[in-house]
Amino acid sequence: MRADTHDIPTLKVLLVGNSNVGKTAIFERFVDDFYDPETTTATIGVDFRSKIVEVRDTKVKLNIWDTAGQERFRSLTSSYFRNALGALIVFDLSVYETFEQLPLWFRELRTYSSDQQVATVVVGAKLDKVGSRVVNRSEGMAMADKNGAGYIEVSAKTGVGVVEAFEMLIGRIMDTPALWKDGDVLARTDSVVAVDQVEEGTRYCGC
Amino acid sequence: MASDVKLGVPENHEAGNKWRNIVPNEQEEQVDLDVKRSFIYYPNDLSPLELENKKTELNELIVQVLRRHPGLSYFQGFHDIASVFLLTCGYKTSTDIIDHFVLFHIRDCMLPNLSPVLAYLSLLPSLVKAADYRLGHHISQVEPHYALAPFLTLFSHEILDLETATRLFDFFLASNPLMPIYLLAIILIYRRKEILDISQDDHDILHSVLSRIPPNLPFEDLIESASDLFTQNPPNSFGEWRRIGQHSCSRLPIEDNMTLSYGDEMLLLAIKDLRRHGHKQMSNTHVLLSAGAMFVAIAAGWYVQNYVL
Repeated sequence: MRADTHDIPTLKVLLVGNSNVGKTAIFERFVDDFYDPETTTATIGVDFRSKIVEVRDTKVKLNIWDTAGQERFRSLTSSYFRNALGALIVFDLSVYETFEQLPLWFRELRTYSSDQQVATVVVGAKLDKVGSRVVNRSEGMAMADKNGAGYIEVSAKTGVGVVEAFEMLIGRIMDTPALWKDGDVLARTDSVVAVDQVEEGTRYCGC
Repeated sequence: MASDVKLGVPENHEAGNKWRNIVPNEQEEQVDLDVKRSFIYYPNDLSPLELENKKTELNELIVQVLRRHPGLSYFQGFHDIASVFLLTCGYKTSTDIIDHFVLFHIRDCMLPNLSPVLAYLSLLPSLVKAADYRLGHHISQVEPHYALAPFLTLFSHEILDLETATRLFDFFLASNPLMPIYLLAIILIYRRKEILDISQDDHDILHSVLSRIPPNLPFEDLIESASDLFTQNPPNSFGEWRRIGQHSCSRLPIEDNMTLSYGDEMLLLAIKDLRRHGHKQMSNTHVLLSAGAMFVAIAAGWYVQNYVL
């Protein structure tokens, strides 16, 4: 499997956002199509997984970095921002503070992700928690628009929107001339800074 | 846990509930979030109500130690450690011993920032190199951030059964606070073939493999090897040791008679060291920047004088 991956463009993308908004649940749902509310624990540092996906008839290898939300780890996690082409910026639709923090995440990304125009998608998570929603769709979209990002609402629990969120991100990377040209990655994605840390059940690729 | 003796007898816990009257620490919100996501892999024989009660106890166990020693900074993963204490020793005993454990074993992990922990992790590649040069060299291009979770949580974030976690805690509590790094080095050596099979240049994959703690490791043998490795290559035999702070808990021989008030004093001194070090780094940057600016100015002057005028 690894042999064929050489010709496939590799896209480094990030999952960022406040603590407990559901980044790891989205990550696991996407990579393994798996969700168990009982097994998602706090992420310490950074986790890495990789998955091959096809978007617009092009196969790409997504190298996904799932980061810890606690501010204490920010100095470490931000070192993984370098050379990222895109990021899902996640907030919890049922916790307003996590939405209010989004501008801070945009700022962090711009500060640490080299000088490229990182593609971004704002992801409203925990869509399944009907009745506890405190951020409405138009408010979310306005925030995303203001920051030049895409917007999508997802539920890792039901799976709704998760694949689409990553596809939207890849699409936005492909639509950014500074990142993507003639079916390949334009920006340098090679061996980044230090990186790090993964979970249990790491696979070389989830394809 | 067999290490009660090492953990000492608390001298100022007579006021069992005093902490409840202390102003909540601002980090408690994070504690709440993490406690909600606790007890994932064990225990699995609790009723929903018992589980809720366990979580309340866990929350109180963590919160009280933070309130009693306001200099401590909570980190995600401390809740994993506290869960092992709670499930092994029960609430009462845990509240008696956790302060001592925090102040003398993981104090450096609870300072205002992560830099002391990163200094510890930097020992790992050299340590592997000392025992297995080829393997150490193979992983030396990768920042040892993969060791963060096992080090911070004494493996409790990675080990999915309580019995093994407790066995490891016994070992760590009776050892120097740096012992988890030694055990990690031994685990990497145990997995050497798997690691050497991955290209040295494949940083992402290498990181992901290095960070994994496989199930069913022969821990008794590995513990013995880690102890031997510590004796043969103590932390101060490495150049990286210079990065370890003056008041780091790894500098103290564990046999000393250590009181909580002494631990508090050391905590404050370590925080001071860290702030001073931060300032020093800042001022070094300033010196470099000013030197750079001066160089540019001189070079520009020279250029103007020689080529423009």
